Amino acid sequence: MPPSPKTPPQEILSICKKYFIIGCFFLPWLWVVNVVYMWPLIKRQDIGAQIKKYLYLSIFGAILWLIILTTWLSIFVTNRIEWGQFADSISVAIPKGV
Amino acid sequence: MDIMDEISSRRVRYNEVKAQGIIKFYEDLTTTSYPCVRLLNSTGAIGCQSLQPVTGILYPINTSDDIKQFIGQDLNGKFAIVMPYDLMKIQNLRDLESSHKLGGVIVIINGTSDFAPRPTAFSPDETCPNCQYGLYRDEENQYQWNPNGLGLIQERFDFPIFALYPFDDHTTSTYNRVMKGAAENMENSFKNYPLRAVELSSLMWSAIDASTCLRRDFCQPVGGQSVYSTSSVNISNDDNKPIIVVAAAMDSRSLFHMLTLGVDNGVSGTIALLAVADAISRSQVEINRLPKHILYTLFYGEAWGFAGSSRFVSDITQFNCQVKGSAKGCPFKNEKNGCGFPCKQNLDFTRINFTNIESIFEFSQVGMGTTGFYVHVDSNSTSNVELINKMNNISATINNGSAFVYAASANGTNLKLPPSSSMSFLEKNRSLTAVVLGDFQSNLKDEYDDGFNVSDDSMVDSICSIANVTAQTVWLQAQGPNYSNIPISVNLKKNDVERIGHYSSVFQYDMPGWLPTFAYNYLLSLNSSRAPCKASTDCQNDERCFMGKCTNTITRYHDAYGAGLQYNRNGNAMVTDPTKATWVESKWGSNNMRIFLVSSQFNQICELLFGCILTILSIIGVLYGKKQLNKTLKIA
Repeated sequence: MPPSPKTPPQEILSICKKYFIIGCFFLPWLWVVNVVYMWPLIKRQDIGAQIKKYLYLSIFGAILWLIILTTWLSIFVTNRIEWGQFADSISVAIPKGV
Repeated sequence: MDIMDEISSRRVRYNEVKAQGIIKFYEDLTTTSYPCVRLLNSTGAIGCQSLQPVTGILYPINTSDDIKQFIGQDLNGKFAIVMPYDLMKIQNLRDLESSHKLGGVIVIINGTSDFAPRPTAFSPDETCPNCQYGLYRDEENQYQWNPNGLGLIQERFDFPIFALYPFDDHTTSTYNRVMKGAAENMENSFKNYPLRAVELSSLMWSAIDASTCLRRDFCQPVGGQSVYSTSSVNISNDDNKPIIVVAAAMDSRSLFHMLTLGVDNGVSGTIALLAVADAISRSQVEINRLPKHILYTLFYGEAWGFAGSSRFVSDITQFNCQVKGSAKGCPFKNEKNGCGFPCKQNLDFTRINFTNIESIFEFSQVGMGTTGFYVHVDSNSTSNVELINKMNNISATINNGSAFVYAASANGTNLKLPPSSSMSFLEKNRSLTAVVLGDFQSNLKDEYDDGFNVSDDSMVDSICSIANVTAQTVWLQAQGPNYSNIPISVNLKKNDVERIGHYSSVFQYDMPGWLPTFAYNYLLSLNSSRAPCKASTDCQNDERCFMGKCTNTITRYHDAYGAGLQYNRNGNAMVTDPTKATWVESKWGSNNMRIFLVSSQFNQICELLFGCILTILSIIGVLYGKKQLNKTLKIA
């Protein structure tokens, strides 16, 4: 559900911008939220173009994070046993039985 | 987990469930079944593991033909095989596993009717138990002492195995339930649902090997507390008095730890040793005035790479206290007598000088020596042969002239020592005089390690006779050369030899299992003819107050866990020498077995589909209703 149409456009734009900037601090989920939340507004005449810019950046960032995390996860999972103590020491919870 | 704790907690859980009187879809049989669990050493894992709970339809198998039939049969789903103990062979289990229809295995240790009688000869151990840790480990073509060993204990199974052992009301009712379920399934040809199924879960936390597992704190060292005792309360490291060691191993092992009974293997030697100690303590001559010390040692964890004896020997030869008093990771306060690191409650073992040890008498399995006993030695050295002859002569004197103790090499071949605690001593000094007494000449009796034998009179007689000979020989040895009058003899009551379960369990400081506790109390109370007391402070020296009397022995527990393991300064166990014994036991959350009725796969799919359709329909209904409401009520 996007922001109410009664909200002043500058405020909407500011929220969108803040979401994007805060997301830069290792919060890719916030970017995803930003995209889902603001997507219906990109067709607006007044601020649509600017919102679109932030949303594309957010999408790009989120995908980048997705790639980094899945790559890391697959490397970690396949090498966890080989890395021995190091892998255990960077694990938050060690899975039981494997 | 300690066996007695486990059993009692199981009982409590059973009674709780029973008291609630709940009739449930699942019926929990956990409290009355016995799981196979996982153990690890420095190179890998043995025992059972199932990462996921397994559901299997009960399927009875009675013969090896049934196994073939099961494998060939066209069946859907996973099955829990119910089979008698004597079909538990590695090949059978692997065949079943490779059929891809195996969920888990339920083993009947002994049936209550004609079905699955307890096998009379069954040894799940290796053909040469613990030989990879023994004195002859580097020799090629080691003699195989247990040729009928199935090697089950050393195998790794990645599916759950549970044992049923009906011996009381609860366990028999579980047994009956499983057998009835399997029979019903058979009547329904395993196709006419609903069928009786069990869910088996035994998630072991451990993985890979001992060092990984210890690092993750998912394992504990296998072991416990050995017990040593001597009446020489003044024994000291520099008294130059020779020491005669009388030794035996207390524990034994089995695929199902809680069912480790092995009367002949572990218990017979323990009882014989206690009988010898008792007989000698009643000697007219004061024991601590003898020219030699007599030291009784009962080792624990021996079935797991000679854990008890090798640690005892290494401690009395090279113990070095690095932190005196109390230390992190050591639960003892150690005000006067202990050591903070390495953690020891007392240092009395340092009073035993290894170089003073003159000879070792060790009881191996001695419960079935009705036809005679054999003395095993490492080499036919003069002193060994002398000792054998002495025992032979004494046995003849006792038994009206016909000897019943012989040299094991009397048939011409010296097979050297069977796996025994003496090996740990000989490891340090190969020229020690050491005799290992057993009821076998060349092959361990089949009941070795896993006898579910109930003791009988012949076993008591057997233990009694060898204890008698040993007591007299030890007493003679301790006198010095010129002594002929032997005033002692052994008395045993049948009650002393009871059915006892004795897997060693895991090592914990100051937490001896009940078998070491029994041996400790027994040895401690010998000779206690001293002044009455209320607390240990009323007694002199290091004596302890036991049952209102000051004891007149030094009796202590001694840590027993694999020689390849050490505790570090934080109190964590770690593998320090992977070539030695490094056995650890995995921790686990729960081992569950529950039985229930399962419907056919078709039914299950129908139920799922019905549920899904219902969900979708209700979503549509809600959306439609909302729309209609909006229309009629004209809400913007």
